[in-house]
Amino acid sequence: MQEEIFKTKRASIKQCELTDSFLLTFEREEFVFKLCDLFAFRKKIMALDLIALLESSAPDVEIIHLPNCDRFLVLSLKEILEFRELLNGTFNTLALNSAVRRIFRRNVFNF
Amino acid sequence: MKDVLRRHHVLKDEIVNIINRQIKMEAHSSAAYLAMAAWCDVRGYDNSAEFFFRQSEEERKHQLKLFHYLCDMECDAISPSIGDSQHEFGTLREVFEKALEHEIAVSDSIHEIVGETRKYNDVATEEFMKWFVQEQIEEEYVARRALELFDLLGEDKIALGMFEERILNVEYNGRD
Repeated sequence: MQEEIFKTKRASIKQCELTDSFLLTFEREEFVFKLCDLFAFRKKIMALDLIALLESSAPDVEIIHLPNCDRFLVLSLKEILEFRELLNGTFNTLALNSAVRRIFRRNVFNF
Repeated sequence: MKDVLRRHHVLKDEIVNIINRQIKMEAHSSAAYLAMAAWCDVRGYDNSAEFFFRQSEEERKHQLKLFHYLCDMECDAISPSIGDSQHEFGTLREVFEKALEHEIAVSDSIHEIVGETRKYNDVATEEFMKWFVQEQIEEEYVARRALELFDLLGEDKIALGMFEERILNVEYNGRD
């Protein structure tokens, strides 16, 4: 079973309840991440220097190697911004879910 | 929806970052002590060299203890890059002065981590860090005692010989 966590115009991230993994869909391409790899991916996306990218004479694209697999993404500036929005939204939703679950856990023992 | 965040990434990002910073600090300390050991060794201060070789090992163990903790909590442990260490010292006393400065900086940093764990109500990490708090009491004590030996004995050749005889026996006994 998969539940959508966050969605942007062209990308989305779903959580798989069976495997505790995440499915990133972007332009009909699908990428599966474990949580630690999703963290690593977010770190890479957030570390990109957009100002330097704008100021350089090279084309405004970045090649991102995906963690723990042999695939990579070539992202334009606009796509990087979209990925930032997607990942921030995803992690904020996960944190919110975690806070809600914490309240529910108080009732686990039902004393 | 399952709480995957809590299941697989136990610590908050802020705690992970500050522990990674400490890992770097311990790695740097280990390298700095190695440089001090080398300085002592080539000048014939064999026991002081041994003292710093042991200290270097200790700091490496601290680094690994923190590293394993992050791995056990399924968080990102970062193997740090280490900058240059100081290799030149004027006197043996200066080497031990630097060692005490190092230990005080490490203690401050450990206390800061404990403060952060309280801020985020991270009881498990606070408990884990208690070992380091205790360890720093010991490390600072030994570094301070070593310096006090210079006050007691002086720094002429005979005094340095006596210092060499005593340095490996300096240890922290808690209540004693």
